[in-house]
Amino acid sequence: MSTGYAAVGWSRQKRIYDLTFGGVLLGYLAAFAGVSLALFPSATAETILIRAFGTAAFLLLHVILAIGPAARLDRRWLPLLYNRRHLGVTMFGLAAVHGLFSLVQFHALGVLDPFVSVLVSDGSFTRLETLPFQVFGLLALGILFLMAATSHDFWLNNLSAPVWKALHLMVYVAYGLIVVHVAFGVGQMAGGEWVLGGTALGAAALVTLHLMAARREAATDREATAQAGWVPVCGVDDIVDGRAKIVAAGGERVAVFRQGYTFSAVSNACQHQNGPLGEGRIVDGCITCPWHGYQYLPETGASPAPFTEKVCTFRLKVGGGQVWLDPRPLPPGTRVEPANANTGRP
Amino acid sequence: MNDEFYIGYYPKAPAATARHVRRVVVALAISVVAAGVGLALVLPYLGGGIFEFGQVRDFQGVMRCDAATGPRLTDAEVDYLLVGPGKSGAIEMCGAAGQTVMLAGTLITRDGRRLIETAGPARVLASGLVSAALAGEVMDSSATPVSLGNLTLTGEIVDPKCYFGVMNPGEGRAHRACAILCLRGGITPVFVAKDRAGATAHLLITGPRGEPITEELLRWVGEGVAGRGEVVRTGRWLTWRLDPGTLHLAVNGGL
Repeated sequence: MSTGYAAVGWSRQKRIYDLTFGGVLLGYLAAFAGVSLALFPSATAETILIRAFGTAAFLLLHVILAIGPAARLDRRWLPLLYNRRHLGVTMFGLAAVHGLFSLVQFHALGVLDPFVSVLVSDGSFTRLETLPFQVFGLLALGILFLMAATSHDFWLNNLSAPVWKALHLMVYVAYGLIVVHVAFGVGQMAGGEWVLGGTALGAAALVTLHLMAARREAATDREATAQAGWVPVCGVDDIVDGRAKIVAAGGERVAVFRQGYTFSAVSNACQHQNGPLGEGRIVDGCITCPWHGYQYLPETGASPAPFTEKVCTFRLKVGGGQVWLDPRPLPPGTRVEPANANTGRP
Repeated sequence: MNDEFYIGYYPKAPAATARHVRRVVVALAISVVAAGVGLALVLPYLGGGIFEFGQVRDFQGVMRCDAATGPRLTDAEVDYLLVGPGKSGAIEMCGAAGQTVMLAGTLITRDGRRLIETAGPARVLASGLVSAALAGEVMDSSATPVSLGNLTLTGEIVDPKCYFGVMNPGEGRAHRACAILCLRGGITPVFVAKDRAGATAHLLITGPRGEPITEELLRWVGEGVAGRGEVVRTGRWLTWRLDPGTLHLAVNGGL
């Protein structure tokens, strides 16, 4: 969290993260280029670079897409999620190098402008065999650029979390476009069977991981029936102190936190990146998002000063050993006295 | 159950989480490097051509020119196909047709075939620099076309500049757009015919009457195709007088 903008808010963990990631990436590029040159000494540097950066970007995209559901299934993956944007921006950089070298290699110094050529020279939509795979790659690169360019919190704050989140969910569109780009490009060349098999395997793994995470979340999306305007959440002892239970009510997820004998409810979506607040903890008296550590006061849904983030709050009551929720959201930052398990009242 | 809670802006990660991340990172690092090696091994063949990039040499021979197949430089041993810089042909070399010339360029070679990417205009030599006997021998052995009959061939239409060495691979689906640009730029189309045993033959492509054709071929570039036409030997190159109307997709086939 911060009250101003910096290019990167460096911390010790972030440095370790980036150095490790950079080392692994360099290891991949060196291994790929080294083996390619050993096998094909006559290969040109441009071709090796196009292949090395293209494959690196595609592999990295798989890792990026896997981190989210993996962290939902096992919290120990959260450190990889924390700086996922660094991976995303790097992935765009790798894809851009791949695209730029391909543009120069395959489309420069011809009778057409390279940018026109990439759109018109590579096949047509009339036959599957001639599907213009480079156009799909170009479209994917455009989406990745938009995402990389708006990855900073400046854009997150100015676009608003829902818009930013929707924009960044386009990574799945980009992934689909890249799958087509690979399958109908290098996958159609002699020896491309391995590429097609690997791409199918990668897609299957990602779909499985996302389905597993979705299945887990689906359980929390079953809405309980309201009684006289109040939705039953759970028994007072069903929530561990400092943690929350997520309940679906009124079409959205609400995080009901317990702090000692008191209960408070806020929207489950963190204002930062819509992270699942209900999977967080109360740390130093603040609800703390598990994704990036954004914090909110339980009774107001507002970040402690000088921070300015706010989420919706909800009324709660305790009765008959049960916590009840009024599913009507209050404006972000509205103070609500916590429900007390001892008195049953706020 | 892991009871730890990770906060990224804290100086250190909780112990069990840090242990897990270390294990994951080590596994990922090994997997990623292995993937780099594996992908380099399984990705499609990179081609066996050689392009002596940056090495401009002088070549000497007789300039021969055919309206359909473009300029070639011949000497007693080699019949060089000439291509221009970038994605262009070298048709301007035909201005020196029939003369003995010195030509600066970069060698492209694969499977015994040789091409030159020209690096400047051809300089016509005084007749004494290359013996008249040598020039005559070259002209005699290469000027008369010999028909080898009508043949149905299976293979791929390529641009010879990339296929014979500049790109590696200069063939197949991924190279299609580049090949189309090269052919549009005036580089003579070449058919890489393949038989069922994998043996290849290279043929310059013209129309049925020996006329130049390009546009009719473009939709078939970079794919496995078959077609029919008369094969003619001119010098050390074969020419396929292809009827473009006979072209069709082919999965398997042979000469």
